[in-house]
Amino acid sequence: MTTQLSRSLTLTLLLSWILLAFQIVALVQAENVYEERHTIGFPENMSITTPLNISLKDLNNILSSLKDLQELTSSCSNIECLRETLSRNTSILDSLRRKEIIGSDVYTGIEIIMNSNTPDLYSYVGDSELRSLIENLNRSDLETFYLLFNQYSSRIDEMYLSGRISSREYLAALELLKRISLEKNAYNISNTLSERELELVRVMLDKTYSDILAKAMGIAMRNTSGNINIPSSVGGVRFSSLNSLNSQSVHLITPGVPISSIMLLVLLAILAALSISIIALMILGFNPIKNIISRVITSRSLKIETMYSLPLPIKLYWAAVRILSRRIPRSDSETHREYLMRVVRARGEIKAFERLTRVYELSRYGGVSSSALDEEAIKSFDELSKNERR
Amino acid sequence: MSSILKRVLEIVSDILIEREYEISLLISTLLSEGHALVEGVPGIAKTLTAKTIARLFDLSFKRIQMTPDLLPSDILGSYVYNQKTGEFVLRKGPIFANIILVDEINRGSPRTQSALLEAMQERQVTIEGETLPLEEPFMVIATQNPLEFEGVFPLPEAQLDRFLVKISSTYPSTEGFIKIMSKIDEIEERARSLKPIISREELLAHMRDAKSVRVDESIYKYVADIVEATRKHPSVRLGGSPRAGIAMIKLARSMAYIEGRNYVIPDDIKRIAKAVMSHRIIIKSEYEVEGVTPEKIIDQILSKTPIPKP
Repeated sequence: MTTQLSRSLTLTLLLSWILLAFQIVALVQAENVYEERHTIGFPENMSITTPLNISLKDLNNILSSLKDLQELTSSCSNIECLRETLSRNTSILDSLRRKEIIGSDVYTGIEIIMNSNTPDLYSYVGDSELRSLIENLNRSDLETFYLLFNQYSSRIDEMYLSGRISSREYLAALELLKRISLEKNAYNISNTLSERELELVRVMLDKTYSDILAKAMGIAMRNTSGNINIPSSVGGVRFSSLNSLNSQSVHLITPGVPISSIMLLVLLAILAALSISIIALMILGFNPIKNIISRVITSRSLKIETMYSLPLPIKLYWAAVRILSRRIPRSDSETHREYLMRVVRARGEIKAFERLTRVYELSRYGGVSSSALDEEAIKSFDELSKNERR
Repeated sequence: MSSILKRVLEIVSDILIEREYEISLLISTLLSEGHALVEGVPGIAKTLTAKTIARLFDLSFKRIQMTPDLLPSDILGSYVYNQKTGEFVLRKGPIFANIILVDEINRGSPRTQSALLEAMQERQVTIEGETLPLEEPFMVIATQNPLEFEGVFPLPEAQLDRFLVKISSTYPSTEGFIKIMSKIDEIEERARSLKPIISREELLAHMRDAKSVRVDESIYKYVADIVEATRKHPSVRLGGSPRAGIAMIKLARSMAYIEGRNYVIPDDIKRIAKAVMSHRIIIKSEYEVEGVTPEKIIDQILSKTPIPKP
C-alpha cells in the first residue's frame, strides 16, 4: 500500500510538472499571438496588418533589415565597397530575400550590384533604345567613348527621370556602363558611375523604407512612375517625416508579464527543484515520499477504538512501532520479525524492542495471555520509550 | 514440543552441505503428509538427501528410475503365478515403502505418471481389483531436470498440483563445493553409518501433533490474499487453487512445529510461499518470454500483500 501510494504521489508530482510546463508553453504562445496583434496605444480590436497583409512583427523585421542595409550603404563611398560589405553580411541579404515581395526593388537592385555576369545584366535592360545606347558605347573606341558618354549619359538620366525606365533598369545600365568604361580603361568615368550607382541604391532604400512604412500605416501612396520623384507629402503626411521614422519608433512594446505567469514560473521552479531532489534521493537509495507515507500510515492505520480492545502486549508493540517508525518507517508488507531485523541492522541491538516483539508474537499469533506477558511488555516498552527520549 | 529440525540439522549438516532449507522443507512436507518435487540438475545429492531423511526417521526407502517403457505395474506391483502352490500371489511394487525417490519423473510415460500420482493422492493402490493401502508415512520425492526437453513427458498442471512443494535445488557455493570434495570419504562413511534419531511411531505422533499448531484467523486471511493475488496478477494465466492455500497452511504449520513453535506466524508463510506456489502458477507466454517467472511474481505479491494487523 505504501509503495502504491508512493508511486501515485510521484506520478502526480510528475504529471503536475508536465501540466504546468504545458501551461507555461501555452501562455508564452498566447503572449506571442498578443504581441503580433496588438501594440501599445492601439485599440485591441484594430488590426494593423490589413494594408500590407503582414503582421506587425514581420513588418518590424523588414524595417530592421532595411535599416541595417541603409547603415551599410551610408558607410560606403562607392558601390564596390557596398558589394564587399554585403558579401560579408549575408544575413541581411538572406533576410531581404525572404521578404522579397515587400522589398522587390531593393532586392533586385542588390542582385544587380552583386551579379558579376554581364549577359544577366543585359537581361534586366528591357528598353530597346537604352540597350542600343549601351551597345554603341561598348562598340566604340576610347576616344569615341569619351565623346559619346556625356551625351548618352544625359539621355539615360532623362529616360529614368521621365519614368520610361525603372530603377532596376537604370541601375543595370549604370553597372553595364561602368564595366564597359573599365574595359576601356576610362577609370574616371567608372568611378563616377560607381558613385551614381551607390547614390541610386541609397535612394531606392529610402524610398522602399518609406513606402513600406506608409503602407503599413494605411496611407495610400501614389507614385505613378515608381521612381525617385516621389511626392513630398501623401495623405496629409509629409514623406520626409515618414522617412525620418525608424523601425524603433514602431518597435513593439511587450505587454507586461501577468502576475499569474510569474507565479506559475515560481511554482514550476519549486516543483522542478522538488522533483530533482526526490529523484536524487531515490538514486541514493532513499525514498522520501515512501517514508513520509509509511509514517502517516503507521500512525493512522490503527484506530484508537481497535486499540482499546487489544491485549496489552499488542497495544504496546504498536505504540513502540509508532515511535521507532519516525526514524525507520515500517512497510505494510513487513512482518514483525522482518521489521525487528531491520531495526537491529539500522540501530544496533535494541533488547527492549526484541523482547517486545517476542511478547507481541506470543500474544498475537500464539494466543497466549498472561500477566507475566503483560508485565514483560510494559517493562520493555518503558525501557524503549526512555531510550528513545534520550 | 520437540525441535526436530534442530536435531536433524545437527546430524545432516556434515553430510548434506548447504542443504538446510531443503531439508527443513522436506521434513515439513513429510510432517504435512505431502509429496515433494525436486527440480535440479543431476549430481546435486538429491538421492542422498532422500536416503538420509529415510534413515534418520527409520523409514523404508525405495528408488524408482523412470523410463519411457516403465509400466504402471512395475511401480505398483502385480499378481504372479506360483507354480508350487498353484496360486496367484501379489508381488508388491516399489511404491510400497515409506519414502520413494522417483528419479526423473518426467521421463516416465503419461500412463505410468498418472498411476503414480493417483497412488500419491489416494495413498492406496488397486491391483487386479484389490485395494491395498500404502504404508504410513508415505512420501514421494520426485525429481526432474529442468533443462531437458527431449524424450520427456512434462507433468500436466493438474498433476503438479498434487505435489505439496517444489524445491529448486541448486549447486552449492564454491566454499561448500570445496568442503564436499575435501571431505567426500568422511561424508560417505557418515551417510552409511547413519542411525535413526526417532522411530516411525514417534514420527507419526509428531505428524499428529503438527496438526494441532495454532493458526490465527488473520493468517488464513493473509494466505487467501496471497493466493487470490496470484489469480488476479496480470502476468498469470493460471493462479493458485484452493488446494494451494491449504498446502500453504499445512506446510506453515509443520514449519512452525519443527522450529519448536505451536503457532504460525506470517514469516512462516513468506518462507514457504515460493516452494508451495511456484509450480502451481502458469505465466502468460508473452510475459514468459520477457523473463517473468513464478518466483518473481510471488516475490512481487509478498512485497505488496499487507501482513495481518494489528
